[in-house]
Amino acid sequence: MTRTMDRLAWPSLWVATFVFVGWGLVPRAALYTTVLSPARLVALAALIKMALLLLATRWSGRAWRSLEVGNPVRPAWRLLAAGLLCTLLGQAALAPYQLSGNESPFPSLADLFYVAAYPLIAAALVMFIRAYADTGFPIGTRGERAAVLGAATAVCVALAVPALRPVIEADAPAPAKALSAAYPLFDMALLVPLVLLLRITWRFRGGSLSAAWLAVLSGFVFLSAGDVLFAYFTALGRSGLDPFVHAAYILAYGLVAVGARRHLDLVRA
Amino acid sequence: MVTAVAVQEIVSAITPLIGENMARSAARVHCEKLGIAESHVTREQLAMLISRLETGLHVFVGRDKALSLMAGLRERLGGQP
Repeated sequence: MTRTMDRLAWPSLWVATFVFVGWGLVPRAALYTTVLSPARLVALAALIKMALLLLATRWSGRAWRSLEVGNPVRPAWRLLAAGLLCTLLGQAALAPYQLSGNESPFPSLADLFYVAAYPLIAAALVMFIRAYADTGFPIGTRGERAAVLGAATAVCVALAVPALRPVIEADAPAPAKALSAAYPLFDMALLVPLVLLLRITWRFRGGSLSAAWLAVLSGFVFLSAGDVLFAYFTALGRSGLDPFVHAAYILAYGLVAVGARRHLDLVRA
Repeated sequence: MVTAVAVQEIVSAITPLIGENMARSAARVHCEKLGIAESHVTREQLAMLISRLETGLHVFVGRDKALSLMAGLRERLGGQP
């Protein structure tokens, strides 16, 4: 499956991403003024995101069920699948607006699901770290992990200030403003265990386990980037930059789906 | 059995999964913990080494995959399951 996926999934993911990056860079190109009109592209983005999230949720769920009861990462996969399901439900709640060419409301029911996904995904990542630390494999000392954790936290706090300033200073209703600020904050919090897992994964470089994790973790990095871009562009009222947000989310969900599938292949092979 | 030969066999078997760097580090750490001499490894020590690595691999890839991966090694190196 991995080889087939590499042949199909990667090119499809890159094409989908570059279609939206292209829309952002050259919106007046013939392709984007005729065949792929903005309304069609928004609808297409909604469909791609839902399909990728469905695959990511399904494959994470199957990775959970494929592991034996008592395996310490089994509950982590379940939490990850639940977090991805919440994200899928959030995207599904927005889909009727995006497919019918109407502007998506913000905040909306979708945000309830998106917000619910964060603690589930964060708990999953922490559970993975704990389980991997107990394997007896040399993934770094407690001191090293604490240092990485401290450095990641410091960088996230430093990034949060400039990233949130325009969001907080924006002229928007209080609920929208609060949510726009909350997403990047949640993402920063998610980045801390992500960095630690990336550090652990680096020690497995060259192996198929590392390749699977790298895809999942890169996906979450792009998810964070998408959320920060969304908050930033919303605050600045730059809707013309939405294509980049779509591209970031498509790449994020696609990478998480590919990584989950690779994990599933590892467990089942 | 010569330790270096046994360790190389183990490292080669688990490298595709966890990478050469981690395979070598994990084998070295467990050899140290088990007091395996650089010159010679007994059948019992080899069985313990394979078992320790297998227990760790359970977490990453599940019991069945770890078992099947190590079964070939046990066959070749003679470590007891």
